[in-house]
Amino acid sequence: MSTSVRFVLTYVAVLTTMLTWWLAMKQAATIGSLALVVVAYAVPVAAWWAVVARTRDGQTVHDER
Amino acid sequence: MNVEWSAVLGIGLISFVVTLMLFPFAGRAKYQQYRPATFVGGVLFMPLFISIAVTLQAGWSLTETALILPVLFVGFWGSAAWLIRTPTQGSFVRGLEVGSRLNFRPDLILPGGVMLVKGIILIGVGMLISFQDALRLPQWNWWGFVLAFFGIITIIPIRGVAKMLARRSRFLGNSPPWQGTIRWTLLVVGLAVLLYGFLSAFMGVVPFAADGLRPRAELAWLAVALVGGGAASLAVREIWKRSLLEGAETPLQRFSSNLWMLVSVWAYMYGFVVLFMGRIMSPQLGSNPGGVLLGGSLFGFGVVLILITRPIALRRELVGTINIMVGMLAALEKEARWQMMVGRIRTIASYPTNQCTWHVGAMFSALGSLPTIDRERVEATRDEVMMSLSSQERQALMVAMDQLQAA
Repeated sequence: MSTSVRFVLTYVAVLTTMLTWWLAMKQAATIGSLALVVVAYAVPVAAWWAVVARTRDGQTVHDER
Repeated sequence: MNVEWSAVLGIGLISFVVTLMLFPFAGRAKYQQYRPATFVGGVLFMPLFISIAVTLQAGWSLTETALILPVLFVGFWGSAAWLIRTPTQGSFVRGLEVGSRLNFRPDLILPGGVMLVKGIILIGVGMLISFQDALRLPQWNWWGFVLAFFGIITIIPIRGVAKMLARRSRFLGNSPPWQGTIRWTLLVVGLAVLLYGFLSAFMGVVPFAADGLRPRAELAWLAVALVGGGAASLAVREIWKRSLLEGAETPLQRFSSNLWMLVSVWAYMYGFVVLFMGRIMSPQLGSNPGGVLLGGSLFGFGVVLILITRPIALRRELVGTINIMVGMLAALEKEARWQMMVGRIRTIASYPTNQCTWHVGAMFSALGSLPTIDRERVEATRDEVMMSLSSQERQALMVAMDQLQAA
């Protein structure tokens, strides 16, 4: 698959996620819908913490034991 | 079903930027070398705009919205301030070339640009809230955001790339006279679009519509004086910056440069407020203490972004540009590498001593971060170029190296 096709597919996926998130917050129409903000950020932040934050400057931080 | 097309368009634009920033153009294996973790984290928080928009449009009670909005704005601020942690050392990666001599590196230009734009937005929202005669929060109109988006694009990526190209030119001994004018034009035009767009968005009106914001005749002279004065002050700042030694500026000079920009941009913004409101507005502490507290806090957050975090981000951008330039030297064909190296070394040798020393140190540091095979390739060309220099140029570089060793 070419880079441009992969880019377009990624864009469609990101756009769909964002629109779904926006619609869910809008439809909930209560202050509780802000929980969706927390959930939406908890997932990528948890993933970031689990995968990316364990590395430093692109190099895996090895267990020092 | 009634589709809110302005929101779909606005969210589509945000999604495009997020995709462009995070897409693994040079593959996933070395992803973290060209998209550092802190940068990824900062970009992931960009869509927080969407939740701010939903909150402002939701029709909740004033108390509920007044409690939630600051939390979201702190996230909005934090996602920009966080970008000062973005590391740029040793970050040249093959596969990101745009043309033969430019890398697609939004992680370099994004932090400084985002801090400027978000700083301006926070200062503007802070003023709008504190200028009301009772606690009133901004509204939201997606068409206003869509217009403002083009101001954001002008100030962050377009101006950022123009700055980077001009800097590369300067580093190679070319100093095109147009660079200051282009930077100034992009800032002044981008600001006008950004301010009118966000003022419309936060006033809840469609830009350029019959019932949208229109220039008022009252105090138009003051508005023109403030907008013109702010723009003129930014132009004088560009001229002043030419006298600074790039890379070897003192901390006071860097702070003064950002303070100068902040004051000029504030005058420009206030001119817009006077132009579209037709009156002089000021914080209403007596009738709106909550609004002044909230607005003042947002104003303060914006000032911190422009005065404190942005200078750090710009410094890292400078160091990152040198790192990438040195990495790119290794990737070039021998002839092209030689030509680029001649330009770079001759330029450094022509600098005043303290500037020369700083750039020699930065080049050595960048060289040290390259893999051995790339470093040896660049060092071989450097040694050849050194042989071709005049004795005066060699002497200047020797003095710089002596000073580095002494330090």
